[in-house]
Amino acid sequence: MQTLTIDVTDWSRSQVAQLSDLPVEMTIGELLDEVHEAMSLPREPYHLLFDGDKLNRSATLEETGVQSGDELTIAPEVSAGQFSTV
Amino acid sequence: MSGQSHRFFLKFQAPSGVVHEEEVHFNSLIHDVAFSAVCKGQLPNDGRWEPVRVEPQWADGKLDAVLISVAGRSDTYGRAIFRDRAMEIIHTKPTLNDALANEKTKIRWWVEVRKAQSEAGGRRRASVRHRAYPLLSLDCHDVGPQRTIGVDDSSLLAVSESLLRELLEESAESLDRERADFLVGHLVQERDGRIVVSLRSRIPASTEVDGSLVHFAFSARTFQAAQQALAARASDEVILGWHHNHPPPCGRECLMTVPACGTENVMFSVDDRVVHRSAFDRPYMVALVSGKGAGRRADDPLVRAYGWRRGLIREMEWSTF
Repeated sequence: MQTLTIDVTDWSRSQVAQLSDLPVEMTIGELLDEVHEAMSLPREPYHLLFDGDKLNRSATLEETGVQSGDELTIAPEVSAGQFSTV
Repeated sequence: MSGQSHRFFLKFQAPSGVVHEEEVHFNSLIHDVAFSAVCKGQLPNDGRWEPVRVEPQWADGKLDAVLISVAGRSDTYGRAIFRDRAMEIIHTKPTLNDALANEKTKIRWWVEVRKAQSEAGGRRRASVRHRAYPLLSLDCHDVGPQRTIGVDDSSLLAVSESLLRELLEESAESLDRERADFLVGHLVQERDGRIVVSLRSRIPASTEVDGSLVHFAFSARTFQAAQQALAARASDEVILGWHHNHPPPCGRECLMTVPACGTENVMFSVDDRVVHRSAFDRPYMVALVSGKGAGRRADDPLVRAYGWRRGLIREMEWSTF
């Protein structure tokens, strides 16, 4: 089984998760879950970016062209708003 | 920074039976301990702040506080940490928010503490390493007047006059739509040990964004594009926070009311807190909000600042330089 080792950096470049033994059939959604847990991120939605593109959750690592040694970025998708006050 | 011996879950129940459970993460507290120790010279600023322990503190059989220990440095945080998070969840989780609105009653919430399970053999494939805090040790004479002390008097927030002018102008122009910026500058430690967040410039949030009179949406690409824009500057500045505006509820029409009304909408909403918690969670990261002040014209905006204080997001004082 072919596996990959990649780095995922958070958007602010303050932490890096190194993930190893990732099967190429692994989906981006599954990878996202692992990074989310490893970095103890809040429940808000996050996405993975590679080469400037936002990766589709249902695509596999193989389909996205990610290779061992590549660096992905994780960033949230969030909205500020002025109506929700405590 | 991992290795929690306990996991903490906020549990919610509405009278109608709606139940919700959510794990509480302590990144902001862990960094509060680590950053404080680094600033005091108790830990090296190398990102290798291990081990981390998170443990419950009990009083009369009830959870009273949480003890955070990072590389042998520890601090205790009271229940306000959980209350703060619970209020955010109640107001942002649709099922709970609907229950709150429809049932006109309080949502019951409590904290459940569970022993962390050891990882199943071979399952964990990730190791996380942190980068050093972007601290500059400078005798920095141009980062703001000494008279202005933040809410937490160990740190200061100073905004350059040129940046402030730009933010005010943008806010005064954008009366029908929220807009946002990434705030850029230096994180400086002065000789007396105090930390100065010195904001000097901005990167407008413009890639894959969406805004309206009452919201501003960041996409994942927005954050990455800001970091790429910063890298293109080839300076030693870093992103230290964000700014956004709150237009008046009546938009540009607000200017037709003379004299200006008493409405003020410069505050940090629950949604704003969620943005800050999920994208700007380092203890030195700040947020500026501009908008209409009471008795002021909408094109003469007011600015307030918010930042982390012992793991909670609080309004803070600021100065210009």
